[in-house]
Amino acid sequence: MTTTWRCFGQRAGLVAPARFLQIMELLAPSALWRPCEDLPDKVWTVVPRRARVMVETSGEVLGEWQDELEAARVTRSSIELWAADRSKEHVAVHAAVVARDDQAIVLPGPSGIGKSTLALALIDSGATYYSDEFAVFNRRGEVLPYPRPLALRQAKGEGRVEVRHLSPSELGAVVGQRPLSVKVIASLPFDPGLDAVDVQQMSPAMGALHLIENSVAARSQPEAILDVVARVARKARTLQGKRGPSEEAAQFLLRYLAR
Amino acid sequence: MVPRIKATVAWAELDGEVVLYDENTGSMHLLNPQAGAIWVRVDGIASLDEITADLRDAYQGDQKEIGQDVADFVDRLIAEGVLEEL
Repeated sequence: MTTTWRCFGQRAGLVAPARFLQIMELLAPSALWRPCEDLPDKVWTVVPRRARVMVETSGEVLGEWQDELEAARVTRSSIELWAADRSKEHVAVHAAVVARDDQAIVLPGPSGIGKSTLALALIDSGATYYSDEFAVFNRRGEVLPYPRPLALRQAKGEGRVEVRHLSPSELGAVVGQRPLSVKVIASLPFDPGLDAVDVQQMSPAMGALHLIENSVAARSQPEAILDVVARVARKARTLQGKRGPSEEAAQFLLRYLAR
Repeated sequence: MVPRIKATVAWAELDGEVVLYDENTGSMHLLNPQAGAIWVRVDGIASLDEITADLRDAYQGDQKEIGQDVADFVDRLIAEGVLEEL
């Protein structure tokens, strides 16, 4: 079966067994992913192989998996990155996003710095969930809901890391429904040696720098991306530092947001 | 000498500071307000002397000192690959 998905305004085709397409539908994070009738610009193909599935696109094999859900997650990420890199409508930045009182907090940074853990602590403290992996901005610089399941990493010793994916409903999270202005940009990687938050307020330009260095399409659309992240950073306050336990950092950020 | 911003460099000014992104290298730069004041005057038309005179008029500084700052800044950013000499 074939489905075309519209993701960040781009058309991605998926040729896959019906069951795989159903899994992809369940993983689609928001209205920014929706099936459409258009011809695709690029096609991903899922090939069942005995007890495994292989996924390929444009002659490149993404991998083979026994776990269809994991294969679907990787396929979704591959489509997201491709679409975000080409999008004329949206700017995707690696970041977690939550909100309180219609004001968004964006936590930019690469995987593994504790964004999801901090987002979870903020949700537990009453914040509304917007997104985990990507902050998605429109051209006006507003952040949109993109509520993928939170990916929580836990060290299991000997360099192994287990990743648990928790949906917003499993977290009991309230999911944001509409675009919001960003009030705080906070770069706060986890430091196990800290028992508090060690942070400084930075300039809007530093906020823009944090966003562009974590944006997906900086290299392919630098002027357009810089225009959007500058709009975001001009209206926001930027914090930079390190944090200890996520609960304390969450309380600090919510107090800071309320100032 | 007339300096010019390379075509591969995107930039934005925020509260006097300037963020630069070089799509060729993926490198980013943050210019403080003093450096930003020079950067925004680099338009591929104004010479170093004209940029210096404009800054002196705007900030009432010493022409020789400002001229040296402008020359050092332009040399450094040419070396960094974000400006070029026309």
